[in-house]
Amino acid sequence: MTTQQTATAAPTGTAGARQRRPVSTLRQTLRLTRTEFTLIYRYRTALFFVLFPLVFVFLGVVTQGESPVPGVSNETLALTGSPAAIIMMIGIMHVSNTYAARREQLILKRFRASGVPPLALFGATTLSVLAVVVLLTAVPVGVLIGGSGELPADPVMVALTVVLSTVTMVLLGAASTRLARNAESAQMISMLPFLALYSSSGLMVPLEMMPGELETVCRLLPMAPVVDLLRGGYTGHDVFGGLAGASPATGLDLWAAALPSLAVVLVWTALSVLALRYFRWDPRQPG
Amino acid sequence: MSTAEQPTAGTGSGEHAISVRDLRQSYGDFEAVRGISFEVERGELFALLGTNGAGKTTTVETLEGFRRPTAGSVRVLGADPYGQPPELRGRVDAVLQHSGLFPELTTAETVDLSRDLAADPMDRDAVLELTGLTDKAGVQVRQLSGGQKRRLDLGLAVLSRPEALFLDEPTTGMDPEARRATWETIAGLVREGMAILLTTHYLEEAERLADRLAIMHRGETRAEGTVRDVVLRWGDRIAFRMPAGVRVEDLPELPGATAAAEIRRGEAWVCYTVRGDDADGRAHRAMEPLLEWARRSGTALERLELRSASLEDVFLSVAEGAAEVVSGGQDSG
Repeated sequence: MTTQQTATAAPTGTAGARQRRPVSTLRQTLRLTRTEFTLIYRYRTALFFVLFPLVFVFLGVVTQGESPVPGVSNETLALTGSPAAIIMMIGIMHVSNTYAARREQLILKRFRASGVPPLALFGATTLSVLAVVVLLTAVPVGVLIGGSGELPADPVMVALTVVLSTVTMVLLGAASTRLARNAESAQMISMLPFLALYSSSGLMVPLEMMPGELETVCRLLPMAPVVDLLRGGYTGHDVFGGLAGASPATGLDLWAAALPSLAVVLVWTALSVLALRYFRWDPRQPG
Repeated sequence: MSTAEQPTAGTGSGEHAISVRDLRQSYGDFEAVRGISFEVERGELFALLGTNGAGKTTTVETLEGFRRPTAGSVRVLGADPYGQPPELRGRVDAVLQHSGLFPELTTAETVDLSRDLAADPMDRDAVLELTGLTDKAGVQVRQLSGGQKRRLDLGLAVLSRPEALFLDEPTTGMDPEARRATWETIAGLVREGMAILLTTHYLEEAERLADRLAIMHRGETRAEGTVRDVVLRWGDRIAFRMPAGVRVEDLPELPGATAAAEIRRGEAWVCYTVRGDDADGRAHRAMEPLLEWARRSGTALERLELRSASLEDVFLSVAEGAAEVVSGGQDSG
């Protein structure tokens, strides 16, 4: 029996006899990304989450007062930091809401049962959110360029920060659904990390106004280094030791100063990937 | 049943398409599955029947790769399915217990998405025709009825023409016509050589489709085999109203049969269960001495009946058997 020649012995037309090349994970990811855009467009709650962060941009435009950084206005500081708020809002709140809903509706489980790898599912969500983040980030950048002609001093640093922090926030948003029973509770639960991250980001309260230990903790959380990298990369100032008296820096000097912040961001990205190990595909029970 | 025209099972490596060995699954202190075993071959449909909470879905979810067995082992197409490993992708698919569809997409968009994710899929029109949803192609999934969603689920699961397929209550919510059409679709897939594991509440569905089946209760298999085997093993029943003035001890011994008294609508009845290997002749052999006894003792056997079991009888006795287990009685087996 074992030496049977399958080429001649296999019954023609049966499921097992056909040879086929599986669709690559990359193609599956891009195809699912397309569907994500359709869903964002059709699902009104998603549209709200996606457009609401523009409020943070508006807050930036109306910011008044004296800037702690010589030569950089308060308005510029607020606008250059605003992509961080956009990323947090969409990543944590929108993704946790949709993933909890999809798990509850067995959508994720069905994809897994039909052999779609997790990488394609998480990848598609990340790509679609990244596209929306880039689109929304164009608004504060447009205001900066249109308003005062300020171009990003180090576009690579800004772009890298946007990409890394988007990945981190999307994956943390997805992983946080582990704690939620359904979409409603996911939305409630995601408020806590959102508020914690927002208040520790330096966007609401400058970090150097906090007591020493609290400032250290905030700088180790995911958002404060993102805000510093965005501001530093856009304005070309070494803001990494604090805003007060930050001096201009470019090229390698800027990147050297940015290294500690970049390291924290990378660690959080790695942690967010690891957190997916505990992701639940099945609404029925843990595991 | 499709046994007659099914292709030779196990062509090639000779392994079972699906195999479950002494599977146990526990959630904390609760043991949902308590040591079950069965195999499904290519070109065969195996049905898992059972009451709610019998452990059917847990078993299927283990085979789909969503749970690691607490003890025992499962194999799908020769591989451990846990975590949906790459070697099984595209070769296994499933209809889950509930629909898993994006409500915002149209029927056609849903089919297209699954087609684009699969290797060498069926045409969109073929899938729509198979599911009977051709005229619903442009309708958002949220507007489909429960039965229509169920048909779409099946279409998505088979458009990649998998080698092994898991169907967890696939016809729930369908009207009789749609259910019949779905049965024909499923029977056709089995004829093509697919290995199918089906769980269902509908006994008629199992009788129509299953080459073999198992009845589960409280995590255990209580009956297993072809529909005919299971029904024959349960035995034939000879019953009549308890004659006046006759005590249970007075009743005759019948070959291969055990007697029991039971109450039907307030009346005492005698019921013999006839079991034995000679399934064709056993009822006759038991009936003969009974009639002889009745003639000699001048007893009239009122409302005398002889019937062979239906799957429903077996199913209900398994379900009732559990009630006895709970109250400390013995299992009916």
